[in-house]
Amino acid sequence: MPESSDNLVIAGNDFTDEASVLDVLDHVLNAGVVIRGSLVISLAGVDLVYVGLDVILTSIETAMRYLHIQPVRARISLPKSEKPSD
Amino acid sequence: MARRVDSDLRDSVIYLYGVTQSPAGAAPSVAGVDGQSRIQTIDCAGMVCWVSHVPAAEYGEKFSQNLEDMDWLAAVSLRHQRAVGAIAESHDMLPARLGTVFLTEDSLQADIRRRKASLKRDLQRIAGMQEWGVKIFASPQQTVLPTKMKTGREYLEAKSQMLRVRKPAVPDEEVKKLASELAKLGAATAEGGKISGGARDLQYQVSVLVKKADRKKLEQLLRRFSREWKDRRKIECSGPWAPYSFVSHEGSSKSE
Repeated sequence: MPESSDNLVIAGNDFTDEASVLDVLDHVLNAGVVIRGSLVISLAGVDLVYVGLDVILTSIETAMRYLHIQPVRARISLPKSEKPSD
Repeated sequence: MARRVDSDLRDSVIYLYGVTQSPAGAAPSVAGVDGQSRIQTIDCAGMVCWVSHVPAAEYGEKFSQNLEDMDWLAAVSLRHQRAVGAIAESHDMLPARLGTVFLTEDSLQADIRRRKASLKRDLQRIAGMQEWGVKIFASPQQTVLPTKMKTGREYLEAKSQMLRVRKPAVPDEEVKKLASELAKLGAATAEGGKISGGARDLQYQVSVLVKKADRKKLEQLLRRFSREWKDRRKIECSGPWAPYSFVSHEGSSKSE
C-alpha cells in the first residue's frame, strides 16, 4: 500500500533507497530466529555453519559506518528479472 | 541431470530462510539468497523449513569474510528479505536471521528437532500476524541562515546549528500517546532496530506485531496522528515484515 501524504509515508517493501536498506539490515541481522548462536564450521564432526553473533555485530557496526558515510554506494537495487535457475 | 544434482549437492550448503507450520504450499518463484537458486522446502519435525542450496564456497567458510563486504552484505540482505517476504505472503513464518547455513540436511533436521517446542510456541504466537515498523521524525524546522555572514566559519556554524539532531532523550507526551495506542492495537511491540536508529531527527521507533485483519486500523491510527501533527512530525511506516522482531531468542547465547 505505498502511499504518502505530507507527513505520513507508508512504504511498501521495495528496498531500493538507503533508508530501506537500513531497515532490511535491522531486520535480517538484528532479529529473526537464531537457530544456533555460535560459529561452528565442520568442527569435530559437527557440520553446522553459523556465523557468530560477534561477527554479525561487527558487521552491523561496519554497515552503520559505511552506510552513513557512503550512502550513495548503499543505494542498490536488484534487477526485477532475477529468477531462479533450474 | 542426476550427475549435476550430485555435484550441486556436494558443492552447496543449505541456507535457511525460516520455518512454517506444515503443510508447505508452493514455493515462491523469487530467486534465493544467491540470486540464482530456487527456494525449496524440507519437512522437519512436523514443520517446514524453507531453504535454498547455495554455493558452499560463498556461503560456507567464507561467509563471515563476505559479510565484511558491504555491497555483498546489502545485496544478500535484500535477497534474504525478498525470499522471506515472498514466503510470508502466504504462510505464517518465523524468519531466520541472515546467514543461517547448514552443511547437510541431517544437521538442519537435528537442530530444528532440538528447538521444536519453542519454534511451535512461536509459530502459534505469530499466527495471522505481521510486523510493522513505525518511526516518528521531528519535522526539520525552517531555520533561515543569517544573510550577512562574513566568513566561511560563520556559515558553517549556522549550518551546523541547522542540521543538529533534535532528538529528545525522553519521548514527549504526544509521542507516548501514539506509542501506547500502537501497543493497544498490536499483539506485541518490540524496540526498533539499531542500524536505522541513527537517522536524523528520529524521535521514536517501534516494531509492532499486528493481526493481518487490523492492518486498516493501523493505517487509520497513523493517519489520525499524522493529521494532528501536521507540520511538527513525520511518520514513516514500513512493512509488512515477517515477524523478525518477535521470535524468541532462548538458547541462542554465544556460549552454547
